[in-house]
Amino acid sequence: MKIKKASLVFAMSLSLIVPTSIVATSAQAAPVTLTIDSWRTDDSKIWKEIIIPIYEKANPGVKVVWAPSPSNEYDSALSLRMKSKTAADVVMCRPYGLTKALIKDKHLVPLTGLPGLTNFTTQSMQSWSDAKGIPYCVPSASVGAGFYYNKNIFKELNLTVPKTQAEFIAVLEKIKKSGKYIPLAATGTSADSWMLDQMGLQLVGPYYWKGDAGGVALDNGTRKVTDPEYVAAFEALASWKPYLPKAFSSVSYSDAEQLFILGRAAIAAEGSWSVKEMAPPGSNVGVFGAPVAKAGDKPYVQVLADHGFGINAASPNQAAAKKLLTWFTTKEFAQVYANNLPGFFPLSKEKITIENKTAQAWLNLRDGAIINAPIGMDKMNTGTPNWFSVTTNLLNVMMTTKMTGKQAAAELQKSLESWYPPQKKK
Amino acid sequence: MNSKTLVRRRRQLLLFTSPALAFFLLFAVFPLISTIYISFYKEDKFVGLDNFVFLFTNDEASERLLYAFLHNCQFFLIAASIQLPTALFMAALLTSGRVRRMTSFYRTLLFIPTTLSVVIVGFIWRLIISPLWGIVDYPLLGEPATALPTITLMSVWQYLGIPMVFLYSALLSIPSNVIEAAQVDGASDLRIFFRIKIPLIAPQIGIITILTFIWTFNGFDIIYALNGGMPGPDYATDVLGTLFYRTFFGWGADLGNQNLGAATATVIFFIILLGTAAYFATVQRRLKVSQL
Repeated sequence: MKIKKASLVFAMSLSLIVPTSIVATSAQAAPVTLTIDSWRTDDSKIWKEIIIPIYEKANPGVKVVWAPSPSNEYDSALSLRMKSKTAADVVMCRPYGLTKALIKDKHLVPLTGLPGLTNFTTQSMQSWSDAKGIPYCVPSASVGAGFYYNKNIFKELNLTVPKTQAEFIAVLEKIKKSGKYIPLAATGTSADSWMLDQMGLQLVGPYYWKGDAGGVALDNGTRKVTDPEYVAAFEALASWKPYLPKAFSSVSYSDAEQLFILGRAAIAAEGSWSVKEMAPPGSNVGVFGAPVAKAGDKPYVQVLADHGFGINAASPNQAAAKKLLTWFTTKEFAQVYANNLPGFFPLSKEKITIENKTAQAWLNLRDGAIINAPIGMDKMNTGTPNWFSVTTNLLNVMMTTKMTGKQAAAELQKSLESWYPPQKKK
Repeated sequence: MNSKTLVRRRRQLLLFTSPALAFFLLFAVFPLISTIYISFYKEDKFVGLDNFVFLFTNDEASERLLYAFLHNCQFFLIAASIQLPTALFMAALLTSGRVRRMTSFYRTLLFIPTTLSVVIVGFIWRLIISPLWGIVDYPLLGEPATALPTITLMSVWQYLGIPMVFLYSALLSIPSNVIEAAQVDGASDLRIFFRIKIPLIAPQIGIITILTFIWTFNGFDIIYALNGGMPGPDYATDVLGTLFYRTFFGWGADLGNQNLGAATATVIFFIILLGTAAYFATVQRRLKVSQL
């Protein structure tokens, strides 16, 4: 018994010594564990089985752990973990909002001079840079919003892909008249109301508010949400109302996806990130972008910076984390990413081939289009009540009740005027 | 009893209560005090009652607080007025002798939902009442008027077993000679139930009411499981619990504010404290345990 106890004490003291000795010896030989914080719980399998093994094979002695948390809880969880210095070594960066807050509080390491950052345009780095343009995250993926359509239903009802708003409504009307299918699948539950913003207002709106310029005008306070170009955007979204699934206010995001996948809905307002679910191999699904008002007008296509990777300033494994981030800038990583996570498009300047046809169709939407980013997500999201919460809630109310686009725009303007300095009433 | 044995007795009492007392101090009293402490700070600066002033005077914040409070009242009233009578009815039926067979089977059956995870309960019910996949043709959870009552009923369904078991054991403990005496006097079953049984279990009914009050005002899980941290439609199902969660931990693009969140939690604590105290002062004290 005594011997046992002694050996136990010995083992325990040994276990105390070992980790410290690892830190003491050189970083090369010692095994390093790098943890990655992320909100992409859906991608866990691909990270664990494909992406991480590639890196671990090329870099013996490094162990990478993928540790995601649910998307809705990620922002607050990460900012708390950063404050208490318990965040992972490498963290997935949201565009704008949270990342800018983390940069301000010095929780992220500046990536100036990281080899491979030259593979990206300054524009794609914008959402992860501080005011001086110093980058803090490696851009990894962008996504787009638009419509999936069921080619079989289009063929059966003899429909063509709509280009203008009038054609779009005409197509929806025809599907509705046929009585067999739900014309347009979208999301009506309040919990998923981000969908109506990202794949609704921000999808159809840029044409009316002229892309990024419209966002800047609101940021600066030179234009108001109640001005005609923004109201027109709200109205364009409101014009979908008659064509949505019945009992729309209880249709969740996954319900809407299911309606389309099961062939009960002809069109779905969606994003490129759900290529795998919406267009599985063997399905006959196409993609089209936001309609324009007049035939021949240039379309606007939303390119949404979705995520990048940064380094936690409190991480003890800075060198190893930098090395991993350098790998994230390479063509090899971009290629692996594009093929395993179709619908997430690398932001790299390198030529990446995309195997998934529907994902390629999403990318093709960008040809000849004016590229723009969602509006309101930067400056107008930094106060209370923030742009995103107010807009998503208002859009949900607008689409599920009799509220008009004009009324919704007026409410949003009122909320901005309550705190956002450039929009405050003079 | 001489003084020596009294001291010994006291020591024994202290010894036996100390584990529970330590537990209570560490996990209930300490967090409570530290919450109140945090609510007086902003970042790391002492600001006195500023957070509370903001909660009650800021247009947006005070409106949310008021609506959350009203929704909680609605939650409580619906839960108490449906759960209690139903539980009483079930318990009376189980103890009446009218259910001849399988009393314990029914009792277990009624208690099973209580043991389920709230996430599962929310998920199952949402599917059952979904206009797309379920049996109801109306978006019960999507309309502001019906959303909160619907969620309340799910909660009532789930936790029916607890008051039922309370009342069941209270009814069983009524001595049979009292009932028999009433029967000999010619009282009907209904009369026995209302005039003899109910007065005898009145204190239990009171306790259940106040527990329902505390549970509903601390309510959070089923609403969060169904509607997330910004419970709609248009905040129609937002209660104090979800308001606190959103303020403290943040939701979506909203980052949490720990100090304001602590202030919200303090307000909730005082609402429950005052409600419970008022109830005990006015009602529970007068409910006398009928002596036989």
